[in-house]
Amino acid sequence: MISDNAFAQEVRALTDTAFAVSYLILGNSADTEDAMSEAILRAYENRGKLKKRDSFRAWFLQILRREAYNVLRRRKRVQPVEELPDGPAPSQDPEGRMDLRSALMELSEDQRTALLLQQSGYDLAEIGQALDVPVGTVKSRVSRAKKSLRAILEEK
Amino acid sequence: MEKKTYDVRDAIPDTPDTFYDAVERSLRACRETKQERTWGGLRLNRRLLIPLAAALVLLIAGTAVAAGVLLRDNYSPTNYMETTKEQREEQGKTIPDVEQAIESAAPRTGEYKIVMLPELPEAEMLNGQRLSKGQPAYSETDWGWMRNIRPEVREVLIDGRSLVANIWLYTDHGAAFDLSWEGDGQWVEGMVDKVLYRFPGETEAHETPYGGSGGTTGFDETGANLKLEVILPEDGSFPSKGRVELTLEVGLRDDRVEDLNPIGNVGKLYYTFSFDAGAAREASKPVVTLRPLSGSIVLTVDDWSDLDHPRLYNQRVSLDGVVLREEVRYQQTGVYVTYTVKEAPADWTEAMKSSLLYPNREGKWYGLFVDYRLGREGAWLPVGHENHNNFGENTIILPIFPSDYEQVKKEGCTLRLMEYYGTGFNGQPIGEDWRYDIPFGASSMNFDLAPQELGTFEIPLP
Repeated sequence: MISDNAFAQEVRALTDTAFAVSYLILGNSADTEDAMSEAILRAYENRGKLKKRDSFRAWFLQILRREAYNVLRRRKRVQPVEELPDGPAPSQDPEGRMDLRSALMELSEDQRTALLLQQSGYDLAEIGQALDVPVGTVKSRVSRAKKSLRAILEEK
Repeated sequence: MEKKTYDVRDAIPDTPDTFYDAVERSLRACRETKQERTWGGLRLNRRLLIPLAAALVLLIAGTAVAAGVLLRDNYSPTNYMETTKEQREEQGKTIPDVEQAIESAAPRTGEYKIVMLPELPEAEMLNGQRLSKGQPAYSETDWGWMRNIRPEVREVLIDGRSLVANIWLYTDHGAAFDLSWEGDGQWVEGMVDKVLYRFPGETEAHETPYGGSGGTTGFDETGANLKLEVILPEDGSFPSKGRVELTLEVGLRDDRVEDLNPIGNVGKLYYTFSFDAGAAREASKPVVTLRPLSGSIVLTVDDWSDLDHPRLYNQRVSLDGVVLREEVRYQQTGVYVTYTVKEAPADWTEAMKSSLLYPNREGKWYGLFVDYRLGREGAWLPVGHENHNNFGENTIILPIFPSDYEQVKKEGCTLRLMEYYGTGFNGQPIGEDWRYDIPFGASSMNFDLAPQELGTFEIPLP
């Protein structure tokens, strides 16, 4: 079973990705902390089920996504894009971060997350494990997400 | 025209400090609530292979091995209960003393009831989970068969600090519990979500301090095996005799939805059984010996005392003034040896003391590795481990049982303690003054290691 210290190391190593994944579901920082805290405790309770340490990050992200959805359900509504509190005002956003974010929100969560993980260096098998879908589905989601994002942004 | 690439990460704010803080608080909560003591599941494979050569040497040398002292692959009560009694008999792997302990527990089935999803308070949430995973909503046609599951406790093994039980779930849908499922059809498992126990004469039930864990393992046409593991309280409250009643709350999960937590439940089984707490009898009173160490070693220290600045480092230390406390407990289920640091020089930190004893089970990490041998010239064999993992403690289990004491006393049983330290890190050699500040975002940590002998100690037997 993964030791306590190894568990902590693995969790710390994917903190930034975990924030991004939960943010894509929840849309605000405060709720991501709730989801992450719950995910850490669930993962710790179930760490004996992790078969290979190499699978840790995909396994953990799978748990995190479920906890993020639980938070979402408790909140009972999705934050409308225009209410997202974390981000620069348009005048302070010369690189168009808000446009990219609002475009992202037009994709399905699965597409957003698949694209995020692919751009964060996860391989297709890991993404499949994190999203609980086959590799073929990962490929099509990433590809469709990229095309859709480009189409949305280039229309703006 | 070159297509523009949009990076999703550019749309997401930087990770705020409050998120990092939340991570650290949660990691601290995991350690502080001693959830390290709960079992994470049963499909672990912690087998440490006995070198075949060592086994052959032992046999060829003609060392008199007592009848019960088998060459066991990482013996522990948990591993012993991986197989059923029939399988153990078939394989010739029964240990009479342990079988007697199992028999003495005399478990008996009590009440049980099965509640399916529509009757659960969280029914709406659970159905929502099903739909979100692309699964059809609960239907009685699909899942009603679970109402006919009949549990029956078959074996209980209790050793004073932990309890392992094998419970059969009778059902004609045993195949649905196939862990290696691939393809269509239902794919389910039972997972222990909660354990309560009630002592003789009490009306109130207690929740086990460290939870309980377990789940369905094997199956056949008559049903599935549910293996339960519970760590018992060490505060003296657990009785040494009388019938204790245990109530389990078992989540019946649809693995296509979720197996890791109760959001995958399509039903729940509440099952009470009782067993004789006197089965956990000591064969003899514990013996405590102080073991002063000497010499100098290189210690690889894992220091998380400052969670904002965790670090690893090597340090050459003198062992003069370091005294280990060795407690040997003689149970019907084996001889348990626990090491803690009783004394150390004033400049030894808590991190150094716990790093010295950090359980290094297979010699693949830094920390304390323990093996044992019988006689003066036998091969060194791997020990089993107890799963408490109490911070600053290292407990090993020897496959020596009451029936073996006389014979083993004649030969002697010796433990060898080896302290492993890092000589290489992530492919680079490291020296005695190596330091590594563990940054946020650190991932792999691979060590090259070297052993240093701390000492060999003959274990007293009653």
